[in-house]
Amino acid sequence: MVCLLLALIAGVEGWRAYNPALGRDGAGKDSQWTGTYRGKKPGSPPGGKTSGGQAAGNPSAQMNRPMDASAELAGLVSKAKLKKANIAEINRYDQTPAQLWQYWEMLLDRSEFQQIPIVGTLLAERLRKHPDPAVYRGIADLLAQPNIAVENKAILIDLLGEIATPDALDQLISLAKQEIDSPLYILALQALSRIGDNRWDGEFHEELSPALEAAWSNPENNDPAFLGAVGKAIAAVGAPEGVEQLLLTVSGNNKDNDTEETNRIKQEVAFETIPQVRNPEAVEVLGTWLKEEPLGTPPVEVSGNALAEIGSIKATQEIVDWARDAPAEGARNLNDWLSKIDDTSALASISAVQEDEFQAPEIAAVINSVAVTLDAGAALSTTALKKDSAKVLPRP
Amino acid sequence: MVNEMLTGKHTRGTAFCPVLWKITLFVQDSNMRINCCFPHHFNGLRPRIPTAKWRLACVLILAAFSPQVTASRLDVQVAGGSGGRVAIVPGDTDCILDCSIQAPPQSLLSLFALPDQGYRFQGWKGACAGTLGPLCTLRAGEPIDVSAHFARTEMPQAPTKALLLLHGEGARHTVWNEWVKQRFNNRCPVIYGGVVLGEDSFDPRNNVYCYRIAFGYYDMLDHNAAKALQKTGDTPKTSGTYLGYEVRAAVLGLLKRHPELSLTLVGQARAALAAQSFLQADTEERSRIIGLLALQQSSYDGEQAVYGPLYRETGGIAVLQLEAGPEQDEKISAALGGLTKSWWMSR
Repeated sequence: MVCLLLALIAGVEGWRAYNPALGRDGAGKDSQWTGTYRGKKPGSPPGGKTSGGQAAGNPSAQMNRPMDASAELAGLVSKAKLKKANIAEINRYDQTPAQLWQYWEMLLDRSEFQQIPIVGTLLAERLRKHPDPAVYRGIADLLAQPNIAVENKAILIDLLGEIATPDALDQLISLAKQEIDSPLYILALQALSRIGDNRWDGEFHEELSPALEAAWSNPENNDPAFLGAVGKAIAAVGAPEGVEQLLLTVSGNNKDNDTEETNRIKQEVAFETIPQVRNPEAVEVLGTWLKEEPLGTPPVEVSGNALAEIGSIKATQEIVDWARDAPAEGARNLNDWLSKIDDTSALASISAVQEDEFQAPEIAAVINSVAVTLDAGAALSTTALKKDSAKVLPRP
Repeated sequence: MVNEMLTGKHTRGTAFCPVLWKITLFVQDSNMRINCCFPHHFNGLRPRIPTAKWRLACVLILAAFSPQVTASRLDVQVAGGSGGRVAIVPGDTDCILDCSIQAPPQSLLSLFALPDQGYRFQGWKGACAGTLGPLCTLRAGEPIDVSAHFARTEMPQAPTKALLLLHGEGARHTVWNEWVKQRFNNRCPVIYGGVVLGEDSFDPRNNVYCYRIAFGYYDMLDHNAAKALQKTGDTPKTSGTYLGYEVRAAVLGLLKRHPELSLTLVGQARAALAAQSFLQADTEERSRIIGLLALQQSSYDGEQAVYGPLYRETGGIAVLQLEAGPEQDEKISAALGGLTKSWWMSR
């Protein structure tokens, strides 16, 4: 009777384990999963005890497999399936863009979403090295099909952003122009705005800039969201020509035939995005604008900020060069910019110029103050950083 | 009906049987299974089949408690029975030979391929065939077979030091671009779903490799399951769990490439929760972690509420909290120098 009672309890527990009404969240989440296992529980040492009490490494325990015929049959069926899968297995890393695209389409068709970004990345890598117009056409065709779900089109847009070549960018721009009333519009703009962040092969991709610049200067493009995305992409790519165009806009000297309203929007976008420039190739353009525009104008603000954020030795040198002839009112800007520079080797170049001549004593004072701080304690600052900013958290 | 329901299959025990009641009779119809636990008797090495009396008791239990629920079955094998094991979550089942899992229909099951020392994960077969990487996630439905294949590592591997960068909510892996530019010459491959997407890159000064996670694996699978890096009302435990799986998959993906790996995690904002979730789980991969550097912006909303209690449990692994952004090389490097003790140097 006691045995029956225990069996009963076990049975009830087994039922509770399957009951979807118990919900999936919270502490009870794991309790609805049932499993039989022939192995150790997580964390048990190799060769240690299983939760069933038997040694995981014990050969006699491992031999204790299901002996009944149905299980054997199931095993055979399973092996046959596995063999079939094995034949279908292909090394995805060696495939052409067309093959990968075909496979990617199949994954999308089968809703195998977890593999799509992985194969998409492989496809993007391959396409960058071996451009295949047929693949781009395939993507465009799918995006144009009205019967493809919006969710799947969103994945295609992500793929274009991952590929990040001029061909992919052209598709994103044209999609953004066509789909202005569709939910895809915002997705296309997101991909567009992020395209410059994709530094594949470890490089800034200035080849993307001409198409972005053309979209920026086209007076037909007057939607603030579109201009915001394009402006951000131009800044992230950071090609000197693109940065120059943004600086022209922010200075109010661009030659685009924009309406006053569009021009105002562009100026705002350019003002926001120029400080996001990080491409070292843009340092010269930024330095030129910094030195040639009067203090207090937007181009000076944004150029100085961008140079400080780039923070390289060359960028810091541009700021110092500006400082030599800067008026006293520029001391606040200089202080702000130098405080943003994180690279100690770049800051060290300031120590070397503290004896140089600066037109305004206030500017010289800022330079001296930074140099003195640096000289007094690179080591000290590291210690202070450790003491002030970082703390080892208490263990339980 | 009774014949159909009684299969008399044995296991060495289940999570539902008391310790001394080790033989389980599976009573099942096509969609569900109920475990009945019986006293453990052996006939030589083989466990005895429960007698008719016990089987009848089990049938009665089924009749009395038969719920109108269904479950889906997943059979998992380690091919050849050696070289590693497969961990299945949720449920914390860990198989070294073969397992049979019952799961609520339409739920997500994540399988991790875990190679033993001296082995590496080769690939999946069955329902996971074609899955690249050590993490395969399936939706419970029709009965599924999966097998994991492991192979011996041919050459002894050199010890490898690496950083794994985790981006925060509302950000992407590109948030590390500036730091990667400064320390790794703009190269730091992305890991997604445990697959390293790109060639290795390392800081020549430190010989430290760089990898960065692209979170979102579970977002792609189940819109209800994850979205965990978004600021929601989720508790940290709930939001961190799936992302913790993604961190685990990333570590396994790295171990496939560098079996002798020691790894430091750098988490931006709430990504530290994902790392925390991984560190709190009882896994062998955790032993490869040197520490966690958790970056916070001073203006981060509600940081105390989110971070305060979490760092009390670190699984014995050092966690360093640093007020810095992901671009701030000097601060990050100085902190990493302290955290890793020897292997990371500032410029």
